[in-house]
Amino acid sequence: MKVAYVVPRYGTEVLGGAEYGARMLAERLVSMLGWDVEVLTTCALDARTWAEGYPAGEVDLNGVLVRRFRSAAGRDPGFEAFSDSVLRSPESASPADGQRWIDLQGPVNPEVIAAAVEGDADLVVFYPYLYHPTVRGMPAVGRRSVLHPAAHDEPPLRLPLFRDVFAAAGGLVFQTHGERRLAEHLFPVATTPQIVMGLGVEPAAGDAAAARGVTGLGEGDPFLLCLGRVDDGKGTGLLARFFAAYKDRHPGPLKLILAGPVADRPPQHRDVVVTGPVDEAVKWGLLREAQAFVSPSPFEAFSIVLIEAWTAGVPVLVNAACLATTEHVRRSAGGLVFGGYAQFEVAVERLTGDAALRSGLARRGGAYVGRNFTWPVIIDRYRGFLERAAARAAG
Amino acid sequence: MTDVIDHRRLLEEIDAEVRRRRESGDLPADFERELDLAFARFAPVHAIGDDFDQVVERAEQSAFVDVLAPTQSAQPLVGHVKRIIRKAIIWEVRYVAQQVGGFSVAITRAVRLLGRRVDALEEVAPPPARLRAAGATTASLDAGRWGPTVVAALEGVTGRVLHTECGDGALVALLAGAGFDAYGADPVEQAAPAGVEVRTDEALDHLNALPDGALGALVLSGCVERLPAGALTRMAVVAGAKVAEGGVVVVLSADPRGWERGRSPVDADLASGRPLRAETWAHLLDAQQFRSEVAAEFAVPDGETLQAVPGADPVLAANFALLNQLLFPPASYAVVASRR
Repeated sequence: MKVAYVVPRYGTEVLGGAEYGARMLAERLVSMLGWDVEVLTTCALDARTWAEGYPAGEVDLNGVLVRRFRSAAGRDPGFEAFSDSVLRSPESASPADGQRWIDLQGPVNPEVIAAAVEGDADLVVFYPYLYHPTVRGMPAVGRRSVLHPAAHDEPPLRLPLFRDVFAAAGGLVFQTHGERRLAEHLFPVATTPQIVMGLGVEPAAGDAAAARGVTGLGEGDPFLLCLGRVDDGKGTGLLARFFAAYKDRHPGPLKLILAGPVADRPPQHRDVVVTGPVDEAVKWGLLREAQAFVSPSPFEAFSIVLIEAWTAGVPVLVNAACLATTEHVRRSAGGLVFGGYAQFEVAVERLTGDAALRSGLARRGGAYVGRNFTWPVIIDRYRGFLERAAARAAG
Repeated sequence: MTDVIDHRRLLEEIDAEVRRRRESGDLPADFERELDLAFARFAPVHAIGDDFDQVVERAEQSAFVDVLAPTQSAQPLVGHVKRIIRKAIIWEVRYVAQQVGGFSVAITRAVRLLGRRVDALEEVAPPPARLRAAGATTASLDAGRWGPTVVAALEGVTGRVLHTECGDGALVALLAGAGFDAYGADPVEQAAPAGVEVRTDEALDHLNALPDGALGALVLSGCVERLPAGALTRMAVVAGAKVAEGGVVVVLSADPRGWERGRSPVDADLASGRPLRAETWAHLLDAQQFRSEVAAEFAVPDGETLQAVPGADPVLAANFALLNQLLFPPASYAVVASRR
């Protein structure tokens, strides 16, 4: 079995959600199944500009043949302004505006598409739905194509041009049931072969001492943890504001740690620690020491960090407006949700004040991860799905 | 308590505590409103999904109209002009805001009242998902018994074959093994056999999501034994739309006369509907341009029925046969309907 992945960027330095997910799956198809896997991608490293950070050419990365091609265009400087106007009413965007939107967003890379069409892979897997290689490549590849949309309810998903993209897929791989229902609601894909799968995690012991060194906290100091990009769009500004209000009403030693690359630094507060990017050892050290993990983002397609938190034995608190994270909490009973400040306050009180509740919720979350998101479980289901998709494409 | 956390109750306790704080004044309204407006900015209403209470709560929050427009500006003179304009027209803005606010409050109140009526209706006629949460289970289909019947009925069918409700996917696996492009749907998430495609969906929800003519065949079971008559008649109509020309619908159902005997008291009492007779399905499907026939019925085995002693009076034997029909009606049946 030979599978080709088409992604806008790829590499160990690429830590974005969808691209990271593609690499995890590609590498495990090689290591666990012995399949022949190649990746067709651009030389881009920066997802905001598609600025090239890799040389063109072929390289072996953990058993996966990575073939990088130079792009004809990256992100157009006029994209943001044009996008703002189009996405005010995405459903009514004209076909021409939709095409222009996808072209300006980039990365425009005809060589990647040509390699996908002309290649001998049994299946061509596109990941995620949003970018030029998928939009132009899927219809060209036809029934050999499998799409991992990694979609959530955001304005671009409602652009009419994505209807043809989803409809062209020979198979669909969703990360949550909510994502599947959203796609079925928007596009005629209910009979398209599909699977709800998610991603696995690889737990590590973590380095608690290093984590304390990064945060400046002492051993046993209680804290809430939020991992990932510190970005108002990800809800971290809101979380910092809620937490500051909470601390005004609940003085005490509790801190909030925001660990990740900083796009929007929240206002300074004595109990909010912004660490910047952290390595895996520090990340797992923080996870294992936290009282609870908070996911304030309303827009997540899957949230691998939530799965990691449960793996580390930590309960979670998620934004009630996020379909993916609330689905995880509902299915697992491993955490709480907040749909406003009042719920946030009471939930934090309960989580920080009741060790038995924390461990009980964490255990539920851990069991949920064990049932659904370990790599052997995922790869076994993925293999069955891809084999059927390949047979269907060949037939 | 760690392993016996009642998650639903925990969330209810948190909501109750939120209400208590609001009513007691422990959580000042202005303080909460300011923070919740910040929450709303980063969680637009379309991101909330289908949670009715949350959407109405958001509408109530949005009913508040702030009449004090921001006047900041990078240019001092512009800011000054803005403040003068705001002061000059504030009486008119207040006048309009009062009317808009009153209208918004009335509308959200009306929606709340409508929500309560729907809640009351659902108390009387609970949706299937709530009944399952209360303990009622979907029927478990004996795929081994019906598999050959279904495979024979689907001979020559092309396109996707949907089985709903498919339970653990055993019949789907059997159909896939027989060469059909089969998948299943079931409202209860459960592990399916490896390589078997099963969606977690209510039968009618999934059927409604399909494009017209999308299916080569449709196998209905489980839901046909517990949905109310209105939903079943709707299902026949939807089946007529979703199954392509030349396609087939197979209904696998318990016979109503034997239905209650095979169920637990909880299942029987909490079922919101009862199975239809085979003839009724034939009638419903024929009205949707199908040609139906009752393909098979399974009754109680002969060894378990009343038997006349050898050489018994023919009248007595006939009466035994009549008694057997009354006491041991068919347990289940298959109706096969082909698209004309």
